[in-house]
Amino acid sequence: MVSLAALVALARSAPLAAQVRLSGAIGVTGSSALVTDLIVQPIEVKPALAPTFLLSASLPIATKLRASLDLGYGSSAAELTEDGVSSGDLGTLGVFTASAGLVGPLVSRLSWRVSLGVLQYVPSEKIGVFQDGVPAAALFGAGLDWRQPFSEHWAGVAGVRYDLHLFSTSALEAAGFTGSQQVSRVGFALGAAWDLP
Amino acid sequence: MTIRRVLPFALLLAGALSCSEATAPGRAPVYEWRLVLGTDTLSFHWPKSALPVKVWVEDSLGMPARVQEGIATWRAAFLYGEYDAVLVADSAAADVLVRVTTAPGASVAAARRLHTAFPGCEGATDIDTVATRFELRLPVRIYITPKYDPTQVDLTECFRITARHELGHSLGLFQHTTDPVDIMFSQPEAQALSGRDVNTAQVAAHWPSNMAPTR
Repeated sequence: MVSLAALVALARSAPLAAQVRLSGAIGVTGSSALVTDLIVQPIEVKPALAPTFLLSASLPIATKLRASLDLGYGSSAAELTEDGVSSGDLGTLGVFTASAGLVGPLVSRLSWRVSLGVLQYVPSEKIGVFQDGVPAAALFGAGLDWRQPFSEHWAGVAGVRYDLHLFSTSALEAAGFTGSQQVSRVGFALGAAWDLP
Repeated sequence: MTIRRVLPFALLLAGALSCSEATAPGRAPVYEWRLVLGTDTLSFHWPKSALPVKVWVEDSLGMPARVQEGIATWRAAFLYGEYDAVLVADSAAADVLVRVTTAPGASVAAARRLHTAFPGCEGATDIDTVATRFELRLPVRIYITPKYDPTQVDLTECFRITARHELGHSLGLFQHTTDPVDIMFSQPEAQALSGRDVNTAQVAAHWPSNMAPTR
């Protein structure tokens, strides 16, 4: 939030102020498994589809290129499946993301974006794989945004996002897991963008 | 700058992140934990619907704190919330009873008593399989007894180890091991769970249970 405020403040004091764009969106995010294991039968821990809130601020840094700061938060159950059958959950898993990226036009009102940032899981209960906490992970993201102007300053936005990070925890390492699980997330969001006057 | 110039860097980053691969441990070795009665091999773990297991502990010689430590130790051995327990004030509602007294004479023919000897104290857990052998009658009864006057000798560590060992029986580890490194050794002295204890508890928690808890 501090970075977002700083970007807005900087933009307001500069000639580029009129080109600063703020946007907010609501959507859903799906994720691949955080943990796959085999104890007698296959076990998987995977976040359920998560309602997700996104905030973004961007400003132009070159012709047809914008720098963007993005914040996201989603929350859903950490679902447990054994042998493909649901067997409860490990509580609720909040996911904070903060990233910086580049946005550019693709075709028509469609634009591309790539970003780098960090992702932090916040489990509601310190049990099982989450019992010793979860470290922040580096996050790589990419996506497509569709922008539909409604007025001089307002536009509707729809976007699809993909991101990738690596997941491991102290509890998994203590249990003998080696390496980290690649976790892919795909999200869809609808929202509005406001160009600062 | 266009997508054509950004794309190679993006793919490179994604490729670097995707090089990692997680590998799960093998959960070996394990020891035999199942109860063998005649021709039946009985395996038990608490069903998810029974968690947290309700444990009543006699408030004597600091035993509630020792049992609480034992619960925390066993809970930490599991990665997927397979075991959890809480202390309760009402013994009538408990799944497991822990008394600070000498175990009475076994009165139920179908019960198996797992007895533990330690230099300063001893413990016992009664596993009552009922006549059908495929049910575990609740509450599971645990007895922990000092061998010496606890006002003269510090038995805290003895109680801690014995409570941990007896709780191991209550979560389905129905056998003793022959390795002193294990908490489930018949004369336990291990300060922590061994790798075999953890592996066996995890495997037991996912092994198909053929005993249902009943009252």
